[in-house]
Amino acid sequence: MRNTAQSPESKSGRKSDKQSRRLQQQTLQREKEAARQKVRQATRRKRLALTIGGGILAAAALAGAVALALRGNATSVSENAVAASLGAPTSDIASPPTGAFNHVGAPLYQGGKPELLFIGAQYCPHCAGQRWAIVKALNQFGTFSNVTSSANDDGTIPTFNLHDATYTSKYVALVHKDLEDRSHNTLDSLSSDEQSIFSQLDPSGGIPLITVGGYALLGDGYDLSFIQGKSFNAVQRAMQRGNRSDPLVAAVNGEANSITAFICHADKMQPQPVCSRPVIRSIVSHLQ
Amino acid sequence: MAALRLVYRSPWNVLLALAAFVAMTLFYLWSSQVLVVGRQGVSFLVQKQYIAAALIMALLFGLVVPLLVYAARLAAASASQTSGTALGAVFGALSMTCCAPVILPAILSLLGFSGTTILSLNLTLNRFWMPLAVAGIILLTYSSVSVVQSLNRECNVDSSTDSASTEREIESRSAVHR
Repeated sequence: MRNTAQSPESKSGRKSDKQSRRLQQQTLQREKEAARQKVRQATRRKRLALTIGGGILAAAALAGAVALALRGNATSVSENAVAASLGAPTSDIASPPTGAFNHVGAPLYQGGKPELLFIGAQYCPHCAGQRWAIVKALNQFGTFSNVTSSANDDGTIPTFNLHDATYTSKYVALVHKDLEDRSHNTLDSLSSDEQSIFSQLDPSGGIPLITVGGYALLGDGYDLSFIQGKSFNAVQRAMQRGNRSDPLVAAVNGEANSITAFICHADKMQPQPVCSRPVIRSIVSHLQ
Repeated sequence: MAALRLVYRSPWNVLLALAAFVAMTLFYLWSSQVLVVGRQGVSFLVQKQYIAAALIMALLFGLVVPLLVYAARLAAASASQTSGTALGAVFGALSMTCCAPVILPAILSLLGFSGTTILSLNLTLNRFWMPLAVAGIILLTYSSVSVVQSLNRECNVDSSTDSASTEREIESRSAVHR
């Protein structure tokens, strides 16, 4: 007869095996759970990083958009925007053809080129109005850089800030003097030559004085109520559209054509593409 | 108020006040280049601060002129009231300088000052336009109040007196002064 009865030692051995398996399984489960948690945590971190990154990007985009919008409303816009053309030359002509300019004598020259001398101030509304025609005329003879937009002291007449601008041209020299800024702080001073020119051409001491090609303008070249209250961008767009029924566009283009003719007249009708335009020839025929 | 009522009962004085107000408003607005008379005609540049100051000063000036004339008829106007009014008007004109003011530069130019000297003066006056305008307003207000007080004293005006008898009394006094 076989003895099937198990010894207590073997029973206890089986029990310990089971326990160890359970332990192993539990350890495995814990490890699996830990691994799952790690994966979950990593996923959460990824989500968090994406959320934060996205938020930062969105905030940056929003800030950029706000900055751009504010920049559009501020007194300064980007140089490229301002340096953009004020529209193609037109055939507008002032009445009389020299506009509000008077013949004052011999033209001023600098380095063999006719000189346009502007003496004004940044606070002055009458000065602000005239810079549009100057920029429009001089854009045909050369290039401006570092030009920003601005306005007079109460911000009602948009204009160009030419104080820090540079103008490069083979045909004409620009001397632009702003004596004070919008808050009446001193900016430019006049050289002794400029002082004597100013005293000779403008004995009543008013601003602006614009002299070019032997002609001078004291005060307004056109009715400033055309431009008052408009934004810089609105005036620039109107100039670019060049709608001649707009009195502002016609007035600024008329004055720009007078200035162009003074320069052409003082510089032997150079350059040809600018000075051979019929409107310029017509104005030149009236010049002394 | 009684003296004011008395003076402005006469339509001629009202007319004088209106004429002085309109003339001074136009002068100040022209002087400050709000009203521009140029080759392109007459144009109007809206500069609220100048327009407000010009209207206040012209209103005070218009108010004080008939009072001063009335007081002068009674020999009741003092030198300080007359000079206060004149100085107020001058301060007002000095404050109304924009970019190419008209009266003062013309005078200085006639006196032989150079364009650049006048330009420096223009820039300085424009820098201080607000204190100058305030000084003008204070002087004109002082003159108005002072003349009214003088008239009240001189005519012994009080609210119980009927205006017709006061007018008769003033007329008789001014006849005596004449």
